[in-house]
Amino acid sequence: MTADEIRAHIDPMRHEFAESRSLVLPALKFAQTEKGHLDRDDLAAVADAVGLTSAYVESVASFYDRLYLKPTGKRIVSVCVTLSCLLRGSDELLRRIEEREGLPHGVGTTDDGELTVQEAQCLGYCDRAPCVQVDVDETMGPLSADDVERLLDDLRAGDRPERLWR
Amino acid sequence: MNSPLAPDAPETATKTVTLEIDGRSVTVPEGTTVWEAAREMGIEIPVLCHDPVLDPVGVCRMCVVEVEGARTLVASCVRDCEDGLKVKTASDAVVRNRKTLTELLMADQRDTSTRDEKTGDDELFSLAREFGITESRFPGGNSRPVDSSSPVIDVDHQACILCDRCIRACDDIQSNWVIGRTGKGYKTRIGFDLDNPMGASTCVECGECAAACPTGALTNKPITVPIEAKRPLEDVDSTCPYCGVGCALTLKVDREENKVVYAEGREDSANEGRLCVKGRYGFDYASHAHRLTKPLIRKESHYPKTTLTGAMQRKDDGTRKNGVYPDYDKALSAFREATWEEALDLVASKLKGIRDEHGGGALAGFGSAKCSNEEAYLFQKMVRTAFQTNNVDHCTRLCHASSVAALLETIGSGAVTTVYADVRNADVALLTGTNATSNHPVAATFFKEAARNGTKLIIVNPHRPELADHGEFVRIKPGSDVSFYNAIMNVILEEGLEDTAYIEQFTENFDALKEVIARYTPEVAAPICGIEPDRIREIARTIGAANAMIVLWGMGISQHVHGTDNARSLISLCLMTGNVGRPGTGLHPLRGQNNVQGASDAGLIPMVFPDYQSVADDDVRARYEEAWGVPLDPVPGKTVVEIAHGTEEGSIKGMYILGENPFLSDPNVQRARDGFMNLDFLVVQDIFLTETAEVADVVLPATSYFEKTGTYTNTDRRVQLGQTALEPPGEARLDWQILCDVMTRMGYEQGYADVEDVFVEFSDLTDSYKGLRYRHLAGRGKLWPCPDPENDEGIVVLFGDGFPTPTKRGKFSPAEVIPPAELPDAEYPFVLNTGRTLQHWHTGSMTRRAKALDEINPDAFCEIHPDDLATLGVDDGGMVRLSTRRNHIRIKAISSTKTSKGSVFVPFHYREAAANLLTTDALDPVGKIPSFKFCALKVEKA
Repeated sequence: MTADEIRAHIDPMRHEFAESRSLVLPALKFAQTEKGHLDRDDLAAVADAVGLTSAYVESVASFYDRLYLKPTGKRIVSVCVTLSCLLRGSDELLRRIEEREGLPHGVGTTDDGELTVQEAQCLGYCDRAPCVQVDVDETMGPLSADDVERLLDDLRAGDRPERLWR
Repeated sequence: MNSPLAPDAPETATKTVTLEIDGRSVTVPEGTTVWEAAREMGIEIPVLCHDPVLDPVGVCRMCVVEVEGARTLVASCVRDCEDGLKVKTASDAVVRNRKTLTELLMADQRDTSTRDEKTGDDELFSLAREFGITESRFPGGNSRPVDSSSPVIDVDHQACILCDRCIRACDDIQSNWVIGRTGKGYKTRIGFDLDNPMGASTCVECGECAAACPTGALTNKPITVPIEAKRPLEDVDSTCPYCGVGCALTLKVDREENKVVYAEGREDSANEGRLCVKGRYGFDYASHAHRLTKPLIRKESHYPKTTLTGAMQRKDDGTRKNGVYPDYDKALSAFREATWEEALDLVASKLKGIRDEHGGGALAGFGSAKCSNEEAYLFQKMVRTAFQTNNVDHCTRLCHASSVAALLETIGSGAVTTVYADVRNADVALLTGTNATSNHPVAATFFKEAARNGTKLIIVNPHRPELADHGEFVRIKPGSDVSFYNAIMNVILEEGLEDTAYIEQFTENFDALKEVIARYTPEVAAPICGIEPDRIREIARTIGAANAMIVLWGMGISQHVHGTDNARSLISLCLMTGNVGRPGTGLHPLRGQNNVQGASDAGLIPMVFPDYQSVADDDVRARYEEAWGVPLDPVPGKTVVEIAHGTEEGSIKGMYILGENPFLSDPNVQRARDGFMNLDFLVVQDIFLTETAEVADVVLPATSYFEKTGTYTNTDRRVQLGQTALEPPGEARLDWQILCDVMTRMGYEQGYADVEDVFVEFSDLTDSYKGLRYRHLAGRGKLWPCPDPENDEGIVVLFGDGFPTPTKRGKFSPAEVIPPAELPDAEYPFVLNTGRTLQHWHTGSMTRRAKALDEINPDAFCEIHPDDLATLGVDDGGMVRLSTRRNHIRIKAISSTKTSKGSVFVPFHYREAAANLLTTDALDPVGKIPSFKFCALKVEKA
């Protein structure tokens, strides 16, 4: 994504922040919506748009789990592994994904590049454990291993969203 | 003009707090940290992430102390002292805590520390030894990688404890902002830019990070001999041999190997311990195998002289073959080795012969701003007494001659009115015609720091310097300075922003200025300088409203046929706004060479004796005739380019060149070369067989900076002592002794006991140095004038109460726009701009023989705007042929938007593509400085 596109996105929200540093996360999240991950050019473009050094922007980008520095699938499935979900069988969900998709520990990007599965810390759905989140749109639960299989099938068959908010 | 902020506010007494540390009561100013207070009391609290030159961050927790009543142990480096605080710095709990922390940190370390092996000062390993930790109970090994991609720094990520000292050194001290943290959790490590290898990042190799690192994570690579703690090294306090900033440093010297092993900045100095890549890593040229070790006399078989030995040899992949001059042996083969007796006798008899036959005016000498004050003083003394002529000049002529001419004419003093670090007190700093991050890198760190702390930098330049990232960049058209500044002054007057009280009290000739600049409205100037009228107005208002403005300039101002006018304009601007003589204000021409200020002070100028005393003034001359005991020539001598022209027409027949290399540095250099080849006798005193020495009749092997003691005066007027660190190679001799030997043989006997004897004679004759002795010059050195050298550093800000002119007033000297000597036309449509790069020094004699500098910047290149390259059909990195009316070169083109469309920037360091074959020798009529920054150029695909 170009610095100009990022600028167009963050300029309207500049007044909300006292410091330009605060714009780094919104800028990175937006820059990621094009490809679903951030490459070096994207990071440099964010640095340019926000007016900070590339070292600083990289520090932020490499810290957050939901900012991806390697290519991802068109949808990201986050399986909660915090206490409630773990007690209610999230490890079972991951095991099924491992068997079905051949991903070690159920985590990673599928061979066809369609889906990325990751572990997540508490998603706030303890009353519906074990839960799963798709990108940032939808959190669902409680899910059985079979439910997860169906979810993966649906996501794989579905369209690629125009913007990949994660 | 705004009035200063609360000028009469009474000084408020500093508030203090009283606390108890380890049972002793202590009173400190409010805001002092517990760590600092303890240190004041002589209690050293161990620390890893903190260094007094950095802002504390409190991340390593090694400095924890027990505070009575506190819930947990607190980090003393970030804890402010409070009244009644009771602190224990070494209770059992504290020591246990530190010990465990050390053990945790050691878990990830390798068995040995690179820093300990190299310099023996790994702070973590030292704590481990103190706590008796030989192995860690904790699981370790973070398997983080090593990175040896930088030419000067080894990175071992596994040894990194994430203390952030390197990050703060890079950000806060050098303002380069290259280092960050990458990743999170156990895998976190430092990263360069976008987590590049260090050698592929924007790192400028200043080494500040390696100096700040407490462990083996960032260490210096060896430059000469291996850096090994077991080698006994001697500390020699000296200064840097490169630029006019004159950074104070400590050389770590291996006496047995006779080599400098590494260098460190000195904290107790004006540069505050900072160094750049040249100062920290560029010292090894002194130990290069090319050093001259015996006097050389040209073989009979090598007359008539031929031109330079061949071009650079290349390997198959196009890179240069090792060493600078591939045919160095061939060049040397034109000479035979001689004894000092023979060589000196020959020099003296030849020079005496020319003098006696044709008069002293047939001789000339180029001294050097690389030499010490003592050497400069002796050199001009030799030319004036033994040669009997004032034909003595040096590279200041090619540097700030126009600035000095303008300053002397207007304010009666050619030096800076304040120090570069005074930028800290300015609210506006006008930086013009300077690429300080390359040419004055450590001064630039002060400018960038000031910008971060609220000083507005206005950067006016045709070529975009790195500093433009730190302020407002105004890209004027090349050679349009006078129009721009006249328009700025026009607006200031038009809008009543001038300082009338100052003008009234301290200046003269204001009406003449008003008359000229009235014509230069922004609308008139805009088409000349390329800046919109409204922008000119805005900038003028910023300058006019500034409480304190400092102006710093470089060669972009001085190296024009209107260089003196450019400088006059800047001086007028400062006088008009009352911006001289107070902290944060003033005029600062950033001096290029480490001793260009001193060499000028010492009289290495054809019109003046030491201290700028006119040779044409009978009273002055009588004084020097008495001091030197011989009659002196009343006629001002010829300048650098005039001397070169004199060699061409035959009026100059013999020359003595000390440490200069006009074969690369003179403008229109082929013409100069032809002239020098024409000389009946040329003697060159240098450390290498430079391009100039290649055509000498006699070459005298001199000593490098590191082999001698002497004083050097930096851009601030700061006189500092350079001390002997190495033994001269072979029969190379101290320069001051060579000069005395020649003088003695020419019948003008010299009998100095030692080099300080020379300094004493010089300072006694030179009011601004009066009273200075070597013993005063340790630490920060002394700023001249220094009325009380025993107790005082010297005067920082000059001219608060008038100027050293006959009327005590600063004189406005209005300047009209005159065009450059050679404007672009259909055949030569581009503008040629020359200058320097960060890693190389002038003609490269030193830096291209410095391992690290040469590795970082190996090849000649020019910068061309991408649009121009596209039009020419040349790829980035492709070869171009640059030609002017005088000559042509073939050179690699780098695509760069630093240069504007229609301009080409060529660094002049490179023998194989000498920029000065292209430049014009048209001169500024007053300063006699050539127009290195402007001539018409043709660019073709090669």
